[in-house]
Amino acid sequence: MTPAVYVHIPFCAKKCAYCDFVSYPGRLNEADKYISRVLDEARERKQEYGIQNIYSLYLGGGTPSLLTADQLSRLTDGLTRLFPPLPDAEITLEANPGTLKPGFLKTARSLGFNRLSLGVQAKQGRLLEMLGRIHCFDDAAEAVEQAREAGFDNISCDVMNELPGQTEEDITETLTAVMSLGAKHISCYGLILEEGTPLFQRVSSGELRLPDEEQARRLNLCAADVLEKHGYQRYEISNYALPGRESRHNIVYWTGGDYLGLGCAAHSFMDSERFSNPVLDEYLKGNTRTEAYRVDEKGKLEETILLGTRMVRGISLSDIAACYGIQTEQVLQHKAQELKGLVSIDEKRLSLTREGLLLHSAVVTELVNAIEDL
Amino acid sequence: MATQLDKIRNFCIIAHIDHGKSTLADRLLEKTGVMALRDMTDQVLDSMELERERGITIKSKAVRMPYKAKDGQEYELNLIDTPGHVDFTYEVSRALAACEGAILVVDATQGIEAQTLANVYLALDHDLEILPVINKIDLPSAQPEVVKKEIEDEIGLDTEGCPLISAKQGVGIDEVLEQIVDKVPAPKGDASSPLQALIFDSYYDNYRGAISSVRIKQGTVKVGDRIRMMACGKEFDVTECGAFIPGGYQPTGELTAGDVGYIAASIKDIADIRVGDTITGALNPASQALPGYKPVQPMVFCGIYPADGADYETLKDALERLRLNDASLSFEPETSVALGYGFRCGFLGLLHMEIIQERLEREFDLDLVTTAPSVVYHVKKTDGEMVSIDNPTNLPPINEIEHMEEPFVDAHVITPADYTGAIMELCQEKRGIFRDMKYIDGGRVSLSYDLPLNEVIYDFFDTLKSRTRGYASFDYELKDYVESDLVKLDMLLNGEPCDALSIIVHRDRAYARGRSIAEKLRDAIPRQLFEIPIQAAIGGKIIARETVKALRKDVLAKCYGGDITRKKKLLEKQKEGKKRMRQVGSVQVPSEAFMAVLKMDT
Repeated sequence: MTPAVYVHIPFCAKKCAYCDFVSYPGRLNEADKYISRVLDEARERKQEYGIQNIYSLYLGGGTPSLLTADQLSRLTDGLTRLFPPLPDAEITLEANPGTLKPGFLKTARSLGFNRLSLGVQAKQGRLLEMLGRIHCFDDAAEAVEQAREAGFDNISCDVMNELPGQTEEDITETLTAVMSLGAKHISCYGLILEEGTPLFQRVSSGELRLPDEEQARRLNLCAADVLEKHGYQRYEISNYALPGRESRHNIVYWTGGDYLGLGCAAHSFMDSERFSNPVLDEYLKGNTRTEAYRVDEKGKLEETILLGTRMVRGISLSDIAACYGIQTEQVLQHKAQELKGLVSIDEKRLSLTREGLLLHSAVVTELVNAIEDL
Repeated sequence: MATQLDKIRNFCIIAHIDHGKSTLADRLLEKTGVMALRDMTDQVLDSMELERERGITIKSKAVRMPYKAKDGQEYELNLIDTPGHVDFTYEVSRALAACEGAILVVDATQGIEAQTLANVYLALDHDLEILPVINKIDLPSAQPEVVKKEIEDEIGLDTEGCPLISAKQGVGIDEVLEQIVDKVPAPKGDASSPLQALIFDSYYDNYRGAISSVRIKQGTVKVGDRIRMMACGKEFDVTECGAFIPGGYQPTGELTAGDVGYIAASIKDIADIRVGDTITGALNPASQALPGYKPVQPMVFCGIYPADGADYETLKDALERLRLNDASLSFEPETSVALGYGFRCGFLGLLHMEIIQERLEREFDLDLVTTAPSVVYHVKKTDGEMVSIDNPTNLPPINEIEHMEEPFVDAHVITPADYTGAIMELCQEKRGIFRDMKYIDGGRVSLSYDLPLNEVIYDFFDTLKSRTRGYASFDYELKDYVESDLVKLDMLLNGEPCDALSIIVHRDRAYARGRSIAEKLRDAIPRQLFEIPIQAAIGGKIIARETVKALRKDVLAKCYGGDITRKKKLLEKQKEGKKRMRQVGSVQVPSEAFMAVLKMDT
């Protein structure tokens, strides 16, 4: 088995205002212990699944760039010794522009990291402040510079869209700036307002206002226009890349490939089973895989539709016919006809149009319901 | 063991809702020692949760109480508790026919109300001795003298010596018991005559089968006797008979003329026991049945569907179970294009309908979709045929209709005089025809109107309550059918008519109703991938239009580190939601939308 491996580094300097993910400010002192636990877990899983090589390694967070060079080396060496990456493997490090120390990126590069994902989020200071980011745009530009010096060529930037008070000019400006930094890959995520976050509080109190549906739609389309005009191909709902720079790791999630998530709160999909780890305290006690369920054939078909249609290239109807029968294919074909303008079929692939991608949740529900009673 | 006739007293308690009927019954049970205080819950005879909650009696119940009177004699008092709602007038009339006397409970703070009068007239129709009792004298606002005068003036009953009681505090209960013995006539009848037993209610018991509640008018019935139901013609063998005691049965082996009790005869289908029917002996039958039998006539119909189509069988079982105990509930399978498989159900009235719906939901944990209640219309077709229509969907094509008739009721409202104007206005809005207005003591007015039943069942009662702050009381009885300019109002979703939303309505009211339903649907139908026009139409003519706008954006942007849980949850939620949706053409309509249409206009 040759899975993609994700490692979660749950430490942060400060929690961002919109983040409800499992990350902990002020617990960096537990990083060494944590790394040991991750390596223990990696050994267990290697045995369990007979993992030989890996296809991709992704160090995400949290803020992996908060680790010291030594910690990063111990972790990465340990992992690559257990799971030798294939020669063309994608090895990504996520970094926060506000945390980079001199030499850290050089170390990363020498450890084999060949892709850097930077959380830039926005160009405008007022938006970065609202998001509770600990950096300004110049820090991001500086980080890109450092990365290039360290030998990183494949650089991705995360950008946030559909923020309170964000205009089409804002998102255009941000994307233009990020493109001129030389990013090869840009993830442009619409904000998901999470209950319990400071941003949620400010929105519920009426202090901030989320863009309404029409405005969010315009921002979303505006981002797609700007990026596509500059040669960044959209390949997934929120992801754009110059040709050949699509994230292999990301694609695994959408196409039903195996991936192993290590570390607290990490999610895995291995051998038709989805499982996840508990939060940090539990994880440090040695508990892993606290939630697990098998995905049956019907579930896989649903997932193929749910996740596969996030990809612009869509899903293969021939594969579906081969796995689930010709009738399933026909029902999907028929439904696609009904949803003309939102779903299209081309060369035996079913995919969502630009308009359809904007309505992905509703369209997927239609498709899944169509095959529900088969 | 038969008690001598002159020691038996059969009586009921009649009252307007909330005047204290059930509480007085509780006290009588307690005083006669039938029930120890410690075993008592409030409203012992209202055993259904719903009855207690709503403070209403739904089914008639009887109970036997031994009582040693001040004259030193032992008496057998049979209390028959009657439903107190206009929906159950016929049931009440049969229960009254089983008695010789009625205690009329009047609230000392409220005085006579619409149901008080309706019940008194019923009791007088049956030649019952009426004993007025003034209740709630413990309340500071009690005006027993005013209420006594009201009773004398309005009903013409002598209130000399009328007990002033507080059922709540147990004041004056002995006096009530003594008056029952003194004033209620002993039953008459001949134990050796051919059997005539009046059925005044029926129950279903898991062990005994369907059971008749009866008053023996003539003759004797014993275990082993072969009996015949005179109206329905079926025969059965008596397996058990006896008296009612609180919460159960006391087999006595026989019942004789004058007795109130039950007869069990291994009857499987409660429909064989018809309220008002006469039971006689198969070998020595009575020459005629007791008077007053009427087959049950449902007045209000609606479609009941499971919110989740998969629950159809559960719904069917539930209706069958409820009907075991309620012969007045009727239902038959019906199919709707929009709602799928369900049942057309007939009810005695709106309250009966609400009760059944609530019991289905509570006792059987069902999620229901109900269609707008309809009355029975008479349609005279051009070919001369007269058809009865209880479902708008079945209305013949317009070119085959010569004219339509709708039922009118004789409605009585009693209200504090201040609200007279408001009520007259309401009755006008509801197409009412003014009949009479009378002033009653205590600054109150009694109004009589002829009202179309289809307006009464729409939102008359709720509106009446809200416009009179609950002070007005209301009662009605079916009068007759009247020719009327009725139309079928259809609702179209994305151009497709939705059968479950059609209603029959008077032409003058159609525009307002159409607009209001379209607005409610607009709010109740979630936005979908396409824009949905909602139209109200009469014949082919559109009279109102609303639009549900299309979804513009609906997508989850991100998944952290391969965590797809949220996306799956969302999908599951949407799939679950879909189960509660009905497909009308290309439009998904949530179950709630069908119900929203029934809500009263505000």
